[in-house]
Amino acid sequence: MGFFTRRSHAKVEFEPAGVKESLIEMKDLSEQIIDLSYAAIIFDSKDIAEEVNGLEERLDELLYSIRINLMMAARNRDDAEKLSGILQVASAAEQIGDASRDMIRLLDEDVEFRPFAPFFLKEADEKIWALKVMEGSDIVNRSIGTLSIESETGARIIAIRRGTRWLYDIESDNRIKEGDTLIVRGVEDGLNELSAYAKGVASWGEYRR
Amino acid sequence: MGRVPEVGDPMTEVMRLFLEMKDTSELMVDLAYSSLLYNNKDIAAEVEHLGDQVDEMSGRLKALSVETMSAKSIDATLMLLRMDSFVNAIADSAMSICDVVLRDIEPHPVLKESIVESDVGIFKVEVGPRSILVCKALKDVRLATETGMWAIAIKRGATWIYGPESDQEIKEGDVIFMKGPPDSMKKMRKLANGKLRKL
Repeated sequence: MGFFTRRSHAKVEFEPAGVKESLIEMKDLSEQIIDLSYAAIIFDSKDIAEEVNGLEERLDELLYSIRINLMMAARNRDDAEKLSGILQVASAAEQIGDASRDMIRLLDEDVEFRPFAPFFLKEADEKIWALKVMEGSDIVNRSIGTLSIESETGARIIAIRRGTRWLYDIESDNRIKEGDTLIVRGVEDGLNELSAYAKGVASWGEYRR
Repeated sequence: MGRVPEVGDPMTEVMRLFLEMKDTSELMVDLAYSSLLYNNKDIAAEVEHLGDQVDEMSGRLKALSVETMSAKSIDATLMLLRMDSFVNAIADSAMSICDVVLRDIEPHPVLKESIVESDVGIFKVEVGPRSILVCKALKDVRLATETGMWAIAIKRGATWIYGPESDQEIKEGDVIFMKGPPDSMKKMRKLANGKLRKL
């Protein structure tokens, strides 16, 4: 069966979290899951694929909770019309999750992926690269928030591989460690800059500006 | 195994097409959220237009992959078709979001709030006369690298430039729609209004 275990039909616990919080999470997750799906294919990684499956399940749960909340909130036709728009946007995010899960099933099959990877790496508008953080790099032991990596380089960290572990939910207080492999998305010159800092060839310095 | 296809190889053409579909589908999602945030029907209509383009490319991609690749590798063809469905689903999802805007009902405020408060925000800035961005191409100011902000559309007077290329020049009065980390918005505003004079 591999890592794609059948989804259970266990009852999803009802979460009284606000619709807005659920929507924010769904928007973030639906964007993250696209990047991770491509990353799973590019790096032929079952670990990343497994995370995609996890996120897809979370999207399902969130949609369920939003649906229940909205149905309880509608009092008349006007309400229902406005609220149905929310449901439509939430469903759209969940649809991306389903499609991601379907695509990464590719990794469960014995298919040659390799010829595709170079094209993603070289030609897409925004590229997905893996950067290794080397000894001597001054971004080591500093938090992603302090470094403000995305604002400074345009490169967005979508996952970190640390030893055999993977971190996917990257928060600004996560610190970068020596030996980390950063899976990043961005434009080429920003990725090149970040790559130089990660290798320790360029110094980030105390304040970059 | 592991061979990088050469230019002129049908596989190259198929993958170029795929990448264009991929980039378009992601632009559609960004534009869809922008149309929702600003309740803007022009942007929503463009998303539908891009959706037609994705459909058209998807048709060509399917034909090409079956015609030219199946003989070489059935695996690769199946994989491309699977990836094609993925991109189509993303494009459909963007169209579905725009549907809310095109329905003539003011979107529920919670939708706008959720976009504003998410990790990757959507913003617009107007480029003032004193801005150093004026008369520079996006690639010259390296906007994405310097600020983390990615331009998704430019409104110039009554015309729109969707998914601007890197050699697109910025003009005074342009309204740039962008996505990026909320913490770089302040810098972007200063660059646009001319208070920040260097990158």
